[in-house]
Amino acid sequence: MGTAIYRKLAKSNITKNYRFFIPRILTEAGLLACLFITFTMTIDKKVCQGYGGAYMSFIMAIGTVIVSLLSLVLMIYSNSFLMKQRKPEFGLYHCLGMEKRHVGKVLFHESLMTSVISIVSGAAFGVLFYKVCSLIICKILHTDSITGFYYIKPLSLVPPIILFIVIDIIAYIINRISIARMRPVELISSGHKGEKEPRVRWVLLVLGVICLGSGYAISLSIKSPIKALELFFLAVFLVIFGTYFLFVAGSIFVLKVLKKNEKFYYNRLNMPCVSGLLYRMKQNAVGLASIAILVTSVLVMLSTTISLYTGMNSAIDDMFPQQCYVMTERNGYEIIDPKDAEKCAYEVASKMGFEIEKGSVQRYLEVTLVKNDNNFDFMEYNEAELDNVVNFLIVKKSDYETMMGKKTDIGDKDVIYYPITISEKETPSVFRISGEDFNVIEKIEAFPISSAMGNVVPVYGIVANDEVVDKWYEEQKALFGDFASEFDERYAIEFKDPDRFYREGKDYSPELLKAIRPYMDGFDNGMVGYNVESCADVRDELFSLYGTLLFLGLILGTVFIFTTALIIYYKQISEGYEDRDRFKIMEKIGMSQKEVKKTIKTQVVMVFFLPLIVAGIHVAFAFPIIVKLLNLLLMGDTMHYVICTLIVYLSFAIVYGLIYSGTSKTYYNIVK
Amino acid sequence: MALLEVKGIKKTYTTRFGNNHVHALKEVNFDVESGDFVAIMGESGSGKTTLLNLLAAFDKPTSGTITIDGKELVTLNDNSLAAYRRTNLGFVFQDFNLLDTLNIKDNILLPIVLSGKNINDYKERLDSITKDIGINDVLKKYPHEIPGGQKQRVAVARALITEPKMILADEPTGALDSQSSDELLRVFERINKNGQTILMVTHSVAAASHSNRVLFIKDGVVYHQIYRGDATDEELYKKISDTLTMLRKGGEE
Repeated sequence: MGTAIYRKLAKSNITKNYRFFIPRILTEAGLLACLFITFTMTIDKKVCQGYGGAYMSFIMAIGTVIVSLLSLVLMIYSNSFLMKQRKPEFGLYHCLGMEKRHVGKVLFHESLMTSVISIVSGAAFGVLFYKVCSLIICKILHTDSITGFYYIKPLSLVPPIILFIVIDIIAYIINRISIARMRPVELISSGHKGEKEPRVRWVLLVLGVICLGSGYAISLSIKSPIKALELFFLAVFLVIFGTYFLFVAGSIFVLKVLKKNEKFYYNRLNMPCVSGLLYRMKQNAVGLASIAILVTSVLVMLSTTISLYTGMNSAIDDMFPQQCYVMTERNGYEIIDPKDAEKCAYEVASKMGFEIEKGSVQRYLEVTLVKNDNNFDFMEYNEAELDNVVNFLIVKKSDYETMMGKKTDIGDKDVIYYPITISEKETPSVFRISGEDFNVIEKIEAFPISSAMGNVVPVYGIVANDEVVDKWYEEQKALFGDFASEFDERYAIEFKDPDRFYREGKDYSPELLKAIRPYMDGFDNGMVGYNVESCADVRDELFSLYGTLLFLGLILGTVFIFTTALIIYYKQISEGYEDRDRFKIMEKIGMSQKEVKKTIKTQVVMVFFLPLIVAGIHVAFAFPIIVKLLNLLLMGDTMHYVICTLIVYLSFAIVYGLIYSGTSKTYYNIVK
Repeated sequence: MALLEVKGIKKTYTTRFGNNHVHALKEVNFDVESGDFVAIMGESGSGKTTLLNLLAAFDKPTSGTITIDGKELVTLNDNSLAAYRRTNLGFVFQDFNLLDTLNIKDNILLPIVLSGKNINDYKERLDSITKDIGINDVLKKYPHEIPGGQKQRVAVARALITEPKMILADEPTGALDSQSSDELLRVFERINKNGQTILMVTHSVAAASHSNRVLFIKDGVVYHQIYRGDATDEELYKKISDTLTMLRKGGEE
């Protein structure tokens, strides 16, 4: 005997405490399903070999790690929450004469049951949603199907399930230990004893302000995308710590200030609210800070991945004024005669059914200078000056004239100027380059050459007299020696129907490469693959990279929303039980039910939407640094990112509102 | 006219499927004059708490009328009931019902704040009440920092602050030791002497012996009542326990 009764008890406990158990089971199942999806996509060989699979498997591996860690933390959190809420129940068992080992046995059966239910349903969800997800990812990657992609190998279910079994076992062991440590008196009387009014923790408050302030300052002050990449994680950590500190200490501080203000405080709505919040914050500051951080990361993740994915086409447009390039001279070495390149380009194009509008030879020198106001100088620079570094994409007057097919009248002291970097708005009328003044005689609307560095440092397109350019070349050659820039030359191809080529031309560059290889004079330094580059290639590359990132963003976004919902739900429940007595008292001494409801609502809404507001502020302050990082990922359109962020924020606010109305119902039911 | 008139009160609870009626109160009639100190006694299940809930308008009678200061309770809606409770009644509960999130001063002021009045008009009253009751030195503390006897006196102060027509006390000594009980009852006597009407529900003979008049409820009806007359607390105590003994015997027959 024995086992049966424990099992029966466990079963009735789960049904009676459905408020706690159902969300836990759902979360576990959801996390398992997500883990299964990311894991399967990581290991599936078909995926790896397929279209853009190299990125996918790597990015999904990162996703798998994140989901696993999150699962561990979240399951243990929800477990400890459950145990805390159920202390009186265990106390009752004690009174009824159950020993700790008996309680342990009940716990064992409870864990076993919830574990089995969650894992089985999670696996089922996973298998079901994997199909949906693979359809989504095919859609995102603009491919009709990946062969064998829809088939799930049962083996890929095993590691995620094992992970969750291990997590459940850990949770069970923790529970056993905490039961063993409890004293019966505590178990029985663990209702709330009075708590001291929280004090303002000044050290934390100051630390929080410093952390958050410096995190924000980093984001606001950074100018160079390379520095942004270096400092981004530092800024993130500062903001995370700042958020925790400020939620813990700052909230109490603000409430205390409000309380000191008699006129505000002694008001029928404010007094219950402020005093209630003071206690609520003491217990929930950490939870709220976690929610704020989770929400922020969901927002950042989704807005960046979505804006990268959707903004890709215009980014590629900026990078490719012409659709395809053949490098004919690189770093001063001649690779192929432009005439041969031209011949091959036309041949391959007609063979593949594309029509070439125009081909041209582009010769340019891309050099790095340090900018000081309007002075541009060739000089060594260190990391601290990274913010002032600019690139000049220099074209000789003679080359420019051939390229454009028209004469210009650039004098010895003149330049033609074009700001290649979009964000570089200012147009000086005089440049002081290496100590000499040059007049800007023409600001052109489009520069025929693009720079790969345009998103990393500001790039100016400059056309100057041949002798002047040669002088600059010599100057930087003398300064930088082996690291100096050399003239590059490429053959640029424009197609009659650029859009069609963009969509369908991804086989053009490999074919062209094959065709020009015999002309390359044995020039092969391992860089040959990069000698032909077309917008269709890059489109392909970026689609698979950004598409996979977007997919990961969606999966992690879902997981984080799950997490947020669970934490919020548990908070509502635990607070509901605590607040119930308070509101009963207020009703007894003369508050109408309507007023009680209003007070409850104000408190709940304030606590609830605070993280969303904080997340909004974080995202706003993170804006400059994220724009810089997106620049590194070739995304230069700031406005596009703004719009994506706003859309993501609004949609998230709606989802958040739904979570709120769903969970607050439980809260009201408990309080009533 | 009496301050409180209770006429033909009936309260019947119906079980969920409506086939079982429980008569908590069968027929209750009594009056309370202004300035009176009335104790209502009875055993558990006699209907005391039901009666108190009806008087406090937490619940509505099945039939009969309760009139306070000429106003009939049944006619009031939820909002005006809350206002009625705030302005006319002060409550003292067995388990104190202080908010653990407010300090003593704010707990006492809570009814004032809830009725939207300016607390500055009540500062003097707060001062005199707390001095009178002897809790003026704990105003800055929180409920969990003071003993039960003091908590209950805080509750009394909270009940008094609105200058209610009547104080309803539900087993006010139920959670107190005998010395604290004694002190609290003396507080009750003192405020009653100052003209405060008090209606107290209790099953403690000691508590009831401080009142001026004791009503005995049994099986949902007022079974008997005793007036203090000129009797001292001790004499009243004896009378009450004799009556209880008699009642119990009567019940067994």
